[in-house]
Amino acid sequence: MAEAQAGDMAAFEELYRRNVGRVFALCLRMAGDAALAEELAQDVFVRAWEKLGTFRGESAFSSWLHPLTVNVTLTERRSRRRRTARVMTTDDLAPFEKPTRAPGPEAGLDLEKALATLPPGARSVFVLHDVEGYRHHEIAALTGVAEGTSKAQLHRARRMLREALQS
Amino acid sequence: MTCETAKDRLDDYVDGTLGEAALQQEVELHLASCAACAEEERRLRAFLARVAALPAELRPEGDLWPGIADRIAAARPRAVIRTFPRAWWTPAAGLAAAAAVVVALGATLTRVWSPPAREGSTGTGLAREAAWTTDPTLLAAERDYARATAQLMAVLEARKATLPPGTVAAVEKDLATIDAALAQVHGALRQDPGNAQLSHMLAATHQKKVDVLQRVVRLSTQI
Repeated sequence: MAEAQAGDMAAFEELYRRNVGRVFALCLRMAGDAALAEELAQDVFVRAWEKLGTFRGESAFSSWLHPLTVNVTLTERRSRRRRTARVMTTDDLAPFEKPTRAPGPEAGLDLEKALATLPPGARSVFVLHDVEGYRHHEIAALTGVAEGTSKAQLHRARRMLREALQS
Repeated sequence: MTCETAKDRLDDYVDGTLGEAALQQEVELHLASCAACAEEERRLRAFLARVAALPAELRPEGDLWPGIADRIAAARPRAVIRTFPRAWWTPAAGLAAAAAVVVALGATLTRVWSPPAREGSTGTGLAREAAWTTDPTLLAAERDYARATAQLMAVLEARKATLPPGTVAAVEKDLATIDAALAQVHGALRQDPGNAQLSHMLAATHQKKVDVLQRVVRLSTQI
């Protein structure tokens, strides 16, 4: 770590190799798209390199990297939403009622694929809560939605996933 | 409690976020007396167990490191510029002077002086640095530029095959000229260690080398 902080790229590459699986898994589940997830994972490591000087070693590097990954994925989602100029209030759950893509027949067998069919807002809340273990008040602070909205989105995400998986 | 209400509260019940103990108890009583809702609870818990069993790590199809290394290398020279002491280095002045340095030194002096080894590709060892200066600021700046150019050279080396041979030859010629100019400035600084103009020329020449490398790396990514 000290070598990477001193600017040693080979040492930073080693950190990348040790952590890319965890970072990519979170990016993929948050983004629902492999190509976008690869871009996001790259962004995470470039940002990590830029901020490496702020890592004090009080926690494991992987723990330091985790909130950075969440921030990168949420920031991308916010900017994508702005780019597509979709006007949608965060408390309006109607758009989350239907998946963005209809689950294919294989989705019933594959939780990861079914997850990718969720609308972005519901998917983020589901991944953060059920996969990553965040609490609703933490998700509210991260995403800027009300705690009640986070709960409602989780409820809908679970319902939609269970329907897709027939479980 | 109705089945509809119980199902609405089931997520919070299994998450332990219902809040009031009385609500928790109401749901428990309903589940104890309603087989359909109890089955719904069992299925929800089974689903959540399946979610919890998702792998913590997933691997991307390709190796993301080359792209990350490129982006870091492309951004880095700007940071290096900021590390040079302001007294004799400002980015604008350095960039403006770069072309003049290369023309003035590179075109003429390479005819007189034998070309030295590549500064970036060979690294800049302490013994070698000590031969032309002992100034710690200059040494630190020299090390930063050497590291930045070495990274760009590594990227370029990996992509050399994608560039037209004519471009590669032209770039190699440019780099040889710049390296010769660097050697000249080192030699001059050895004779006149406190000369601020020479220090400025050194930074400008290093910056020129970084600029050439950045341009060709960018070109290689567009092909």
